[in-house]
Amino acid sequence: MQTIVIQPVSRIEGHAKVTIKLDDAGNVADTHVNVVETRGFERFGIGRPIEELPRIVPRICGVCPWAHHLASAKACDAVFGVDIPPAAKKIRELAYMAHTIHSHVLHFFVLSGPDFVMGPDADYTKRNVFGIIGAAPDIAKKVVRVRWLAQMMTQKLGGKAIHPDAAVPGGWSKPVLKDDVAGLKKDAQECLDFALFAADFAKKNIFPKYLDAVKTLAVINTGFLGTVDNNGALNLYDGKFRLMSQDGKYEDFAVANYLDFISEHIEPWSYLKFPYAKKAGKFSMDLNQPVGIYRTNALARINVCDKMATAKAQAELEEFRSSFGRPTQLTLLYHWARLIETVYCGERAMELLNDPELTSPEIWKKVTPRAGRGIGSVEAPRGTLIHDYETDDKGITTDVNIIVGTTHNNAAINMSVKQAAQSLIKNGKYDETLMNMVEMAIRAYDPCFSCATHQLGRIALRIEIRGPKDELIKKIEG
Amino acid sequence: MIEMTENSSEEKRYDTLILGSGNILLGDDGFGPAVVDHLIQNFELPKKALALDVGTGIQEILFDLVLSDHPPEKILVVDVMDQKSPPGRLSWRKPDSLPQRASGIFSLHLPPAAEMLTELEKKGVEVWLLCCQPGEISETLQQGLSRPVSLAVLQASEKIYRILKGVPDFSE
Repeated sequence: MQTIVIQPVSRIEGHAKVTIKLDDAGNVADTHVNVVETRGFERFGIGRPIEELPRIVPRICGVCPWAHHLASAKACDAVFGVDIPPAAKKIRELAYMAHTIHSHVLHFFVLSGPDFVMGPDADYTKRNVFGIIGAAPDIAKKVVRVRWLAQMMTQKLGGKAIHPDAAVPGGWSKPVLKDDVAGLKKDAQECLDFALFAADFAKKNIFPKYLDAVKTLAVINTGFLGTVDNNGALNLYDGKFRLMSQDGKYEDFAVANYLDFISEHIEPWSYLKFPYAKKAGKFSMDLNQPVGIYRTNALARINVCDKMATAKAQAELEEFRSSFGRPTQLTLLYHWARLIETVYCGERAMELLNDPELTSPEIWKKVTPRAGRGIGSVEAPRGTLIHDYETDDKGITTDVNIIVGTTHNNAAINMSVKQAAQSLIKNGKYDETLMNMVEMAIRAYDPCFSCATHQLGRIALRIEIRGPKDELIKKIEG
Repeated sequence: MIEMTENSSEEKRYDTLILGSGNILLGDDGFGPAVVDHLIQNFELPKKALALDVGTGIQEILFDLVLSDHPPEKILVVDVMDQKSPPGRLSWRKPDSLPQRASGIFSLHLPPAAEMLTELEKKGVEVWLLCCQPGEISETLQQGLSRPVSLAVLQASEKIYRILKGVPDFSE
């Protein structure tokens, strides 16, 4: 049996190693996406005043700091038993819309975009952000402009864009002044305009070219998990969980009850756990008969929601569903779903900025330490994020559990890689294009395998091909 | 480098950008952010210089700078790097001295890619990396720098400040 190892997978966040095991005939026998992640955050969070956690958790991840910040603040609110003022909720959500815009735009145009704009069979050295600059310089400039605007909106609202600390237990620490609203509206409108342009551009120029790949690459059958409001509309900041099975049937439940619906499976070859739907009774990543597997992130959210809460995003959803139905299992449609969400975020930001309550000075309620348990969640750009804390009567944390979006998708990523590898590697024949298609299957999930150490020069691309006795046949290093 | 002013739609430009890179929850990996924090707390930086604790998000900023029409004149990246030297030892490096990776590798959580920094140099940006030899970087979370790396924070801050004042010191 041969083994092909790709490490790390390029253009995803964090570190991952893909191992593809070939049988004697050179066909794919099995695949593992092995994760190297920073371990021990939950333990690190225990024994601290709970109000410290929303300030610490943005350091887990330099790419999703706002998701961790807000999920943590919401968990703290729940521990303290406080219903925060409406203005605070709206400011938090507005900042989150801006964060999601800049994150989605980055992923579509910079991380995954090169695969599509340059093409998966393009020269490896050109299939990156520099290639985008050469191929579409005007779009590159717009991407920078919109990401900057969205980041600066978060800074304007919260004081800091990269490591936010404005959300506090009980609300928010910085009111929105009436004088700020006009500038923020101008910025949000520009973001919305770009989101609409991006969706239109992709539908006309990108997706049609790769429809065959969309319909075949990394396609698996799973359930889906996402957050909806009381009307069944997609919501990224707040609401109830909806767990949908492969046949489209679903069940809604309160975030606080997540452990009644989700179990965790462990594989000896992965540090990352494999959450699955508890009601399935067991866990299986068999491609032909998967059991209990569900997915999160944009495609899952688009599948589970009945509708979008804003008009232009709803129109985008209707067009999407008229082509692909509900639920759709086509993995590469994560990218399309991300663009629909970006439109929603722009529209929702404008709605919030037109709400006079946004500028209310009532943004915080006093909280008192107590023994309790609190669960907070948001829909992070990379999937459903859950923070679950317990404290003693002095407000010191006694237990911390965090499930990040990529963990929910762990089983699905492994299945998609296996499906892609099986369809692309035949009789031992593979080349760089095929390997990149396998990577594309992973990138569709926009995974974040946590932040490992950041030391300069530590990481290199490594592809290893090993023979039946684990002997090294070929090693390619970037 | 541009940043928002009081009016959101206006831009403020900086000539020099200091990026403190690393994870403060991973021991000596937090060197870069610690240097930026020390600079901000103890030195009066020139108005055209901006020091940012970018944590583990440096790649996002570099992506934008590469794509930008208005990069700064100079970028100083402060980070740790294993140079097989005693902990706390500082060295200045240029992007072309960093280990090269495959051009396609652009993961947001990875340290700054040599290719991206080189691309910035091609745009006319003067790029320097101030690298510190870490002690041990734990794979589990722990706060705080080792003593030699803590001492290097003071030394690194002074070196950067001299550059900002127009008295470059690229000695080790």
